[in-house]
Amino acid sequence: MIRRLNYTGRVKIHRRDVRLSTRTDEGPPSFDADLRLTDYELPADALVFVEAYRQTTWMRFPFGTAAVVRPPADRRLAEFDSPDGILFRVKVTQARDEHILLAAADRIPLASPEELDADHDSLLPVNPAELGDELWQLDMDGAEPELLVNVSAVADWRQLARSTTFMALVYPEIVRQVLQVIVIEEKHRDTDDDTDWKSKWLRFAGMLPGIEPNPPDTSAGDGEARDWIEQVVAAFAKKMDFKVKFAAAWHSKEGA
Amino acid sequence: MRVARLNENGLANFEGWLDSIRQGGSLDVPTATLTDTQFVEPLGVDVEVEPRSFANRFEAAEYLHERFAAAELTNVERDRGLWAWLSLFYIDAVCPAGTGGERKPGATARHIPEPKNFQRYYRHLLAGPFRIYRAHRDNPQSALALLCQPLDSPGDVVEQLASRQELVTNRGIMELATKLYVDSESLTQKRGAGGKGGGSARRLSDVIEQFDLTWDLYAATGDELAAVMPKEFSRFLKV
Repeated sequence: MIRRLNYTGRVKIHRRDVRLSTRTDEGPPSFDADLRLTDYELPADALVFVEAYRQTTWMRFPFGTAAVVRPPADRRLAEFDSPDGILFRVKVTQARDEHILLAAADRIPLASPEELDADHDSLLPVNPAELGDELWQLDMDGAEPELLVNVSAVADWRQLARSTTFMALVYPEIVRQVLQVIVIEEKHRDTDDDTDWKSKWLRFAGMLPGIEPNPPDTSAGDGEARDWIEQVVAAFAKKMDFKVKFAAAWHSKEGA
Repeated sequence: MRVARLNENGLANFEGWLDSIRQGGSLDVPTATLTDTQFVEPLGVDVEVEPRSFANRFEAAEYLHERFAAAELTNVERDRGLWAWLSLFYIDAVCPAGTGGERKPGATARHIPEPKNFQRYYRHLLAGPFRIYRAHRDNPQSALALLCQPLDSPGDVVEQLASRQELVTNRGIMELATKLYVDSESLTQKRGAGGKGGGSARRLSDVIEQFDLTWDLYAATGDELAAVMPKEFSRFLKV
């Protein structure tokens, strides 16, 4: 799990609010960006930048201000030989001191038009990342948990993330880790706040068959809460029928 | 000699030779591979290189950058066959023979690049410095922290900083690293820059990772960053 200290309260921009697509005109690749920043209560004059990067290649594009996002006319990715593997960052910085970072989103890939049409408001966004020899990581560093999948492990990281074997092996552990943070570390018990990812996760857990809707109080110790989390993980795996699906996949081409 | 690109057969042949010398096999460099059409394919443009030595990574990167620019050859960073061909051509520079003629090639990625491997792409002994030089081509001296080392032994500073995309591409951070770790007179790496000690490149990587949460580091200059570094870096800034 990735955790770093964010002392200044920098806002993490949701990936659903950053939509990047490639253009395939003649010449070098270029990109379009649809940035939705109005809900973040950023200063109107805050500066917006989009950065494209891949290994040692990097480009930066000014995109106006938080109030008036204005893409530059030239959005050619001229430093890159192809759009393959390019990831993007969006940064919003203070106008009077460009060094102060107010909001950011990172590791955003170019999307196809079909993907842009998809609903991105999920409980666990899944995104590509360079993870070395690790296949996945749970990133709890941002505004909500994200599943990071190694972008270079296989040809299609999305297919990997959607595969039955991956989901069966990975998702129960993610549920366990996320609930441990919510219930034991942060002692969060509110299930009614629709804007809080922790409440959404608790509601999801409480709706599983046989699970108490509210997590146990941890004031007298973590024991009951840990038991509740294990029950949630077991109920989740059972509902998803992971054991049967995994076995079927394992004995078919996918698992071989 | 005119530069070419190793094809799959050539790559396999080169890799096989590297494996062989690791296990005490023949030390004879398979130079015929460089021109045998069974092992190479043409580059498409004429790029000439000559046998030579390089004082450090900077000199090699600068030389190759000039050669490619003269031929208007672009998009070479991820050309595996090209870099493998150059490694074989400059094998005495990237894998020099010891007094007994033995060579210690180290990991294959040092000689045959793995451009899609996040953890190893920068380790190629020629493509690695070339990428850094090109990324800072407006002022390549600013990246001397990653280019002042001998070509065949980049060392810990390169490993710590070149492996991190947000560090190696950042002009201000490279200026800072060069100010910290390169002797301004000898243009060599200062003692203590590698390893795990206070103010080392490893610690710089950790500190920058924390700064990155708060600041837009691409807008900062090396001097601005130097002014806010923790005390442990003072000994390098004073030298």
